[in-house]
Amino acid sequence: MTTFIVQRLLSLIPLVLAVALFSFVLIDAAPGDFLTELSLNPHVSPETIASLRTKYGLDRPWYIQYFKWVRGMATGDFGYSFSYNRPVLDLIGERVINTSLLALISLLFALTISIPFGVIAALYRYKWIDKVLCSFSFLILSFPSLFLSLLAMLFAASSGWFPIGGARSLGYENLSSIRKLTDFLHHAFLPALVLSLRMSAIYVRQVRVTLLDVLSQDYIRTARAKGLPKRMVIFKHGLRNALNPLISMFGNSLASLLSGAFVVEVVISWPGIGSLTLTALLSRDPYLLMACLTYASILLLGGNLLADLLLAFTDPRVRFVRANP
Amino acid sequence: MLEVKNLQTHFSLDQGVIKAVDGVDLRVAQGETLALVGESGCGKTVTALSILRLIDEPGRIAGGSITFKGQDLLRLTESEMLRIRGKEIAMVFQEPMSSLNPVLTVGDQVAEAVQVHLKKSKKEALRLATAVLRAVGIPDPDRRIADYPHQLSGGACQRLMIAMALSCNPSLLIADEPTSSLDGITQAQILDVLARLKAEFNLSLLLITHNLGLVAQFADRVAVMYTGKIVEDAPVNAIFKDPKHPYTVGLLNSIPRISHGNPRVRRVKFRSIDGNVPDLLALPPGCTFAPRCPDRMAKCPMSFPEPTPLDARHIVRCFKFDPQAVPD
Repeated sequence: MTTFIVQRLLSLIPLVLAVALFSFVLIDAAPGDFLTELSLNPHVSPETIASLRTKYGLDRPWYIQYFKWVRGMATGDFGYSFSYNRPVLDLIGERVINTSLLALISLLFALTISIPFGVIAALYRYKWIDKVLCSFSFLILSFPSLFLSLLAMLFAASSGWFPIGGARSLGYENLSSIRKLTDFLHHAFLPALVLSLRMSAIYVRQVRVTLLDVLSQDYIRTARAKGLPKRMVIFKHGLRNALNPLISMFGNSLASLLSGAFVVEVVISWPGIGSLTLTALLSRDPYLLMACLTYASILLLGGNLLADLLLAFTDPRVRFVRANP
Repeated sequence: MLEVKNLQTHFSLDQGVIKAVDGVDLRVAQGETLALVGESGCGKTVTALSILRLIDEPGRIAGGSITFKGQDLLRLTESEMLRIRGKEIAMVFQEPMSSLNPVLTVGDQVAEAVQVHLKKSKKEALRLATAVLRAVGIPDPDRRIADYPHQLSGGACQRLMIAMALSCNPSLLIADEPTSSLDGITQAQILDVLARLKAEFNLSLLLITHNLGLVAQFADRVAVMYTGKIVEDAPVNAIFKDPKHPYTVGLLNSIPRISHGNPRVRRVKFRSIDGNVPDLLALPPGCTFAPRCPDRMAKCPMSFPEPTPLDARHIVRCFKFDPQAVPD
């Protein structure tokens, strides 16, 4: 198992490098660079621009910039953000934590919402409660997350129950560790909820359909013929088998959570990677953008790795294939 | 022990109502083996599932009675029924591989019924499971209980199914095509196990099969089923030596035979029954076997013949043997 994990982690490296290469080409293909906007300023002389360009290395072709970046990465140097005038690593550190926690919390929300409702929908198939749940999840899916974010803002503002924007209160540093946690969760609740709604809507339908499929299997009939109570048949024999497709979906969910987080973070002003990526894109800040993209690809690949490990944990068939390759 | 009377199990589909079981009468005495035979789709499995009341929507048991040890199973509540299933009446299914839960260990799947029915602790239940696995001939059961079904062969899976069924010491075992998905040698082994355990536990057995070889070897009595009805019910000797119903005769004729005693083994071409099993949604009028019957009479398509007792133990549903029927 350890060799498997190490192998998968090592295979991350070429993938990240390839993603980065592709991103450099794309950034280069876009017209203008970080200094274009500055050069429109009549108070800045073209000589200053040219010297800045040389200083930042933006006068070199993209592949030179790419190799410089790769060399930097190898020594843990993520480069320098031109727009913030700080090393990239300083900028992304806290934001990576914020976004990762936001994604994790919304994933937990999505699972706690969707598994019970999915089971209910499956058990009461075609009954009114199933129809309500299915229509409701369609409704959620058809709302853009922008709209849901705005609704959440409106709710926070009018009820006053939740802070509007930010991840931590003023004076956060002085709080006790438990208060720090509750303060963070208080801030994270609404963005995480908005972020999880769409995923829950998809998951509810997924849980419903896989559970229905599992419940029609022969081994469910065997379990019932043994005289096991219904609860045991559904949860022990049914749900455990229905979890596998859900876990496979979960691998991709982390990455799609990030793309959902773009909108939510910007609208609810959550200080995470999503809003930072937008800034980096708008100001054409290459190294900052690269760091954001690298984080996104690690999240995607890491999510898949995590899903595979979970699958091996829940499904003995996967485990044994791995054990004897 | 078990007496099924006029059992009706219907499936309501958009295209109409399928009467998968249409007035079935069956009796299984203590320690007896009744074979329920017939072609695929004639309602054998639905009959078995009805006895355990495991019929799901859109199917329902529309009428009749199922008396087991003096109580009508159709009148029990669902929670009373839970104490019958697995505890009093156990079932072995056709496809052992797909009938086992892939994510639970062998031991867990045998032990869980013991835990539920005999109220044993997990540890005790596992010890009992090990003993039952040994009894059905699974080697090294102490280690096998930690395995998963996909690590076992088809034959071992069916032994496991039998172990599961016998774990709570039931009085009636329903075996639905217990060997048809297995190869010949494994079939014989599984049958050995069944025969041995049946004697040991003094089990009554309802054996559902289309394998007449199995019937000859195993059954005390045979019920022949066609389109949801029992058309002949007789002791096994009578069925093989003196079959009455033209459908039973057809079934027996369709067994391929090899004549022995000849150094050059000669195959005798087997004869099949003409025609196909009719569509249950569009059954022919009267006797449903009439369109395929070599002995068809003018009145056959008029009505389905009533059960006619030929002697105390032999019942047939055919106008050929109905004294009130006027021959052509």
